[in-house]
Amino acid sequence: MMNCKQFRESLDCYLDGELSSAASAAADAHRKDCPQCDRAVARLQELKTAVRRTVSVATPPADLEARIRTAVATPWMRPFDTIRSFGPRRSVLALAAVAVCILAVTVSTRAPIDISAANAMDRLALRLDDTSPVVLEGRILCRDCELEHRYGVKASCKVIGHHGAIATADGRIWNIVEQQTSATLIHDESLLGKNVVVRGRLFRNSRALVIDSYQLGS
Amino acid sequence: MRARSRFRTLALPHLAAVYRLARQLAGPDRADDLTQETFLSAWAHFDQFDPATNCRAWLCRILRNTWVSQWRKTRLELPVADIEDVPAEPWYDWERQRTESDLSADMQWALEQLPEAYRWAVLLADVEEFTYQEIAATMDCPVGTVMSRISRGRRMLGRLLNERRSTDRPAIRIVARER
Repeated sequence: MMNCKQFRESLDCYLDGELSSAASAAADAHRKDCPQCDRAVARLQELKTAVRRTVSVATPPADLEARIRTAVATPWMRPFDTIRSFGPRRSVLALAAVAVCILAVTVSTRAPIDISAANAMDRLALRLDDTSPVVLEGRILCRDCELEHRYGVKASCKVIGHHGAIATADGRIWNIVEQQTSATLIHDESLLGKNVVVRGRLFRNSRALVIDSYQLGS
Repeated sequence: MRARSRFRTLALPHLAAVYRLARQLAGPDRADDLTQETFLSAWAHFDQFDPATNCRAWLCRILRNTWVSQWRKTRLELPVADIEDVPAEPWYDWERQRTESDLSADMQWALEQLPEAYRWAVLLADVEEFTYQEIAATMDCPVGTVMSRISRGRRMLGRLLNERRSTDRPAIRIVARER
């Protein structure tokens, strides 16, 4: 036979349906004989109901489901298993990355072109086409936020995080090629707004920057 | 069935549940973003979802992990995972007549005072009506811990409501212990 102390100790489990059937039957029997414990059950039930009622009032904004549906329908938002099925294409990318690295080694012996004066970019543009080593000075900005700011492109940074890029004083935004040396510049949000001097190579046509090393300024 | 449409069928019906919990965790201003991020993360890891398990519980787990990682990202202190030294009154005594809206306002206030781990356990039990086993999986802790968090959380709620009603101002405030 269950006593009051035992009943009160198992009160939450009893009401949440977590007791074994034998224990639950013993609790039922005790409750029938004990008005105080029966009252405790009613109070706890009232508390549970009040919690549920309070929290359940909130309903999602009307457009939230549509936003999620749209995001999930975006082709680049794929679950991992789908991405894995793109193996061959990823291999090509890996080969391309290796090729870029080999190219980097072969051209690294050239003297860097100093284009820290950003307004000289146009003058140097043709020379950059050969992916010569450069020293470039600029400011780290979020590429997507900048596009949103300048052109009203809808950025998803709140959801997927910022994407660091380097803006030079002439207004150009240089995409940073994702590599071990550059991952911090792209993903560390605390660096946004800071000046940086990078050494690497520019790919003018794709406006991309491969970074060998960098030095942060203010 | 294609993964996308399976995701829409299995996960999206739980949007309202995820949203109301997100609101409790992050507040009304950030609940939208947290919900959206939870669903995008769920979609990205949908291959790991076991259809034999409770999809809503799986989403709640992702919601909590997303919230915790966001919290860490913004360098706020996490509430202490378990509090052993909070004095808790054993029973509830708060049956004085209140209107429903008063009670809801008081309850919302009381929920906000609870340490996160207690609040989360109580919400999963009372609002989502998960089993203790499901709550343990969602919170990454043993069932015994779930039991004690629910029990203590409810008693704290009862006590907070009592205090609120007797003074109309809180006489106690439960503060998470510093780590």
